[in-house]
Amino acid sequence: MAVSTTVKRMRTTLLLLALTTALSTMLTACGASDEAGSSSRERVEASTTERAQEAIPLVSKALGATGAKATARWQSCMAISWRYEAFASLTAAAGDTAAQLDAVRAALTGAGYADDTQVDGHVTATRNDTTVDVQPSPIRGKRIWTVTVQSSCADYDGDDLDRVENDEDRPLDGM
Amino acid sequence: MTTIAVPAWLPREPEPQVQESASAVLTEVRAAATAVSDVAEWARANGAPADFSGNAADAADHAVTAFAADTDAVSVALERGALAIDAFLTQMRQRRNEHDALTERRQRLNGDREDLLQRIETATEDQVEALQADAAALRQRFESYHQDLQAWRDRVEADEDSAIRAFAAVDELAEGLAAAQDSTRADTAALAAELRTLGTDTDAVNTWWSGLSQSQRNALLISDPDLVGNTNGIPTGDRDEANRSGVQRDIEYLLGLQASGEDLSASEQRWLDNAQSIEKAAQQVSDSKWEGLGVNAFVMAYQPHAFGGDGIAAVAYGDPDTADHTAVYVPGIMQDGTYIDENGSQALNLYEETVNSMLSEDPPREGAVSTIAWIGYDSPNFNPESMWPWDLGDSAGDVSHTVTEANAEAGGVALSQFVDGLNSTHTDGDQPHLTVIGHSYGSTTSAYAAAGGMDADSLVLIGSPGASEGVHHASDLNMPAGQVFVGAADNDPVSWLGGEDGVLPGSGDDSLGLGQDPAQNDFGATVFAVDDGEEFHGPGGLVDTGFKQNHVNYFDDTNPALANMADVVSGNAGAVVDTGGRTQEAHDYLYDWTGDEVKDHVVDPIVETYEDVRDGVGDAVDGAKDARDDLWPDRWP
Amino acid sequence: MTLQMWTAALSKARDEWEEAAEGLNGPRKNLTQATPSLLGDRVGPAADAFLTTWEQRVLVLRNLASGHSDALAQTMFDFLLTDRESVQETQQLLMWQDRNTPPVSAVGP
Repeated sequence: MAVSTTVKRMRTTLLLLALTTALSTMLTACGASDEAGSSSRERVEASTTERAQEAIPLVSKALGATGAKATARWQSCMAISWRYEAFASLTAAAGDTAAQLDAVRAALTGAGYADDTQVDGHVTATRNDTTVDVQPSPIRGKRIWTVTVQSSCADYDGDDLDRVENDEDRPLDGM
Repeated sequence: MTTIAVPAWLPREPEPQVQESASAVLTEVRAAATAVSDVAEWARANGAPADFSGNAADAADHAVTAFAADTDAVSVALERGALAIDAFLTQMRQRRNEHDALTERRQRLNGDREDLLQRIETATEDQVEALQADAAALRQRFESYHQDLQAWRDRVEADEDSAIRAFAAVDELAEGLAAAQDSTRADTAALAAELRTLGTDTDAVNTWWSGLSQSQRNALLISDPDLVGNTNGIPTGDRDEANRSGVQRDIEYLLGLQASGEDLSASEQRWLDNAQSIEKAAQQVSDSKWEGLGVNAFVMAYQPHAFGGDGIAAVAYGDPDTADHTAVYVPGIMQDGTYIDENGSQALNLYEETVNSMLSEDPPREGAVSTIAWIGYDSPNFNPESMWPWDLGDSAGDVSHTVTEANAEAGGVALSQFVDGLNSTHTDGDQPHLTVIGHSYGSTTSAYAAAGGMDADSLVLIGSPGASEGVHHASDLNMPAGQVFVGAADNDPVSWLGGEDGVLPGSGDDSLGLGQDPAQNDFGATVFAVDDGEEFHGPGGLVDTGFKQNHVNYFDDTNPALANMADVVSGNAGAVVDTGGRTQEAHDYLYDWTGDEVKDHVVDPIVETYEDVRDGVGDAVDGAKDARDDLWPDRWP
Repeated sequence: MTLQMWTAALSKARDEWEEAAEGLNGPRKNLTQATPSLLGDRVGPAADAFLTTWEQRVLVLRNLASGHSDALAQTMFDFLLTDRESVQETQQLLMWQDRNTPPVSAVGP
């Protein structure tokens, strides 16, 4: 059936319109809302910072690393939404990578994080809204591992948006 | 007692003072030269024409005509200065390499000297003769080192003398004016015209550029940085230098306007955002998160006024002209030049993952990598928040923009030409191993490029709303066999949009026009494992969780998608496991979700609330079911 | 010749000179920001002399351009110029294609 491109586009727009109208009519009663959109920027910074201050030393100890320097800032999620992220790179003691990953995993799960690892050679652990990921990063140097502690991705507006879009590194205290 | 003459210990030779950071001086001088050159061009256009044959005094008294000569003199002087700095920096880079080699040699020699001294200490009389011979040989090697070191120092001094002379030749007004009159000056207008006629033949562009003298290249880079910086086929390093000076020129101009108390217009503000974003994209290699990678950035494209001010921008991490493995990342909707730094950080993440992946192999694999974030097409400015019906009218134009193929098709052509450029500028003979990764709408653009014959080795489509109109199977994408890879999270609603049939059942051919869902099993691509994201409810969840989380997690360290992409990029595609892909249509995911929504939020609550009224329950449930069936029949279409 | 042509030519020239002046602000800043010491102890001073000469020259030209712009602004509504010299001086500041535009003479009642 030959339909002109313009008509197709109009119909598609109308269909999307119909779809969302129908959805919102159906769902008004149940008041669709969700957690991610209602987190405030400051709360996200505070909770992610707290998690990082807890997790990074744990990981550092498990790897036999001496001291960790960590920074934190807002990062984008593929330029569409935003997450707060603490980042540290550590020099681990010499050891077998698999055993070291196990040690890290044990340290984090022991502290109440759930093991959420999906990729070989990583430890990914989550707690509430925070995700911790630990992996060796040989490109950065011998025995160097990286730890990232991230909030989930969400959008912000107004002053908060300015803040997350233009954030700079700041050091993470308590390392 | 015999003495054995051992040469003196070799002291450390200080490193040359001039480091890579000195390139900042070159960028500033070029930026200045370019801006003055622009003013000189204005003055020439508004002054006496070059072939004016009237009263010379008239021309001489005319202010703009005199101004043209004055600014031209400044421009030429700065151009000569830039040339001198460029040559000096190139020489100093070479001297630093030579210094490294000499340092290694010095350390070895000192080590050998220590060995000899120790052997002498414990020597017996009959070993003396042999030790004398060893000492003599060592003395010769030391002498040779001294000579080479002195020769190196002489070379450094000669390079410095050369630069000093070059500056001295144009550090006075009169000298600038004389240089402007020099008949051997590069005719940049003619050169620019020549370059333009070469068009999109990137091999020809590359050959032509190599045939120019350094002085000609330097002059053209200053007179036409926008042309040199954005023409495919020009070597990456030169594009980077041209674009950086263009960016600095623009930033200084716009900040100057602001500083003088003027408010920037909306388009000037966007221009400044574009310039500052690409500057940030280049500088972020020094951020605390990324400095450990030790990678350099190259500004490969900078056209802040393109697409009505949205802007074209591209940044490479690692030099694609010398890389063994190159990836071009094409982001999706809502991306423009002001997001190049954020998209750049995805490219950096991919860079780290790719190199780590190679280093983790047994045995570790060496190889240079380059990852490029490229925003070179007109990406629609779809605002997902405007999915509410009362907003949809406003952004309906943008929505239909999203669903039209035209921009993806045009984008595909631009991408293909960019890739041609990368193939032409790669040194060491071979073309690079090149992977194109398209996300979201960028995947449709990439698919258009591939279907149109783009010369890449591998194609990765992630979070794809469609593999472009007219493509029914992976083989339509003209990639080498087995080199089409797809990542699609089950809970990524953008990946529910693909399909050659309708969005809604019973509605005939009303597909969004972006093509088939490439994650389908029968599409024939290798569908790799990804993090499927979180389930969500309601239109709010669709946007906040579906779009703003599940659609944008493909480059997360925690996501198998990133590890799989790194395998493809590094040429280790054999390690990518095919999960088989989807066996239900993309739209069925949408259908299932809306069906679940209706079930969870309408049918079940009714059942619960009215469960003590049996007939009421029965009627309510039936009524709800009928209502649902009217809108959504049981099967497609 | 009309009043409109005269003031239009003056106005255009005033704007163009102002833009030229603005165009020279940026390069002046670039040259001031450049750090010649990065080029080492020997080349640095030579580079510094070079940068200083041209930064100062750009400043002179910038001031010249903005001076011309101001002069034209002042002259713009002074259409009773009868002094031949001031007319010629003003004409020399116009764009080449406008340089022969004559001012209007006041017409009596």
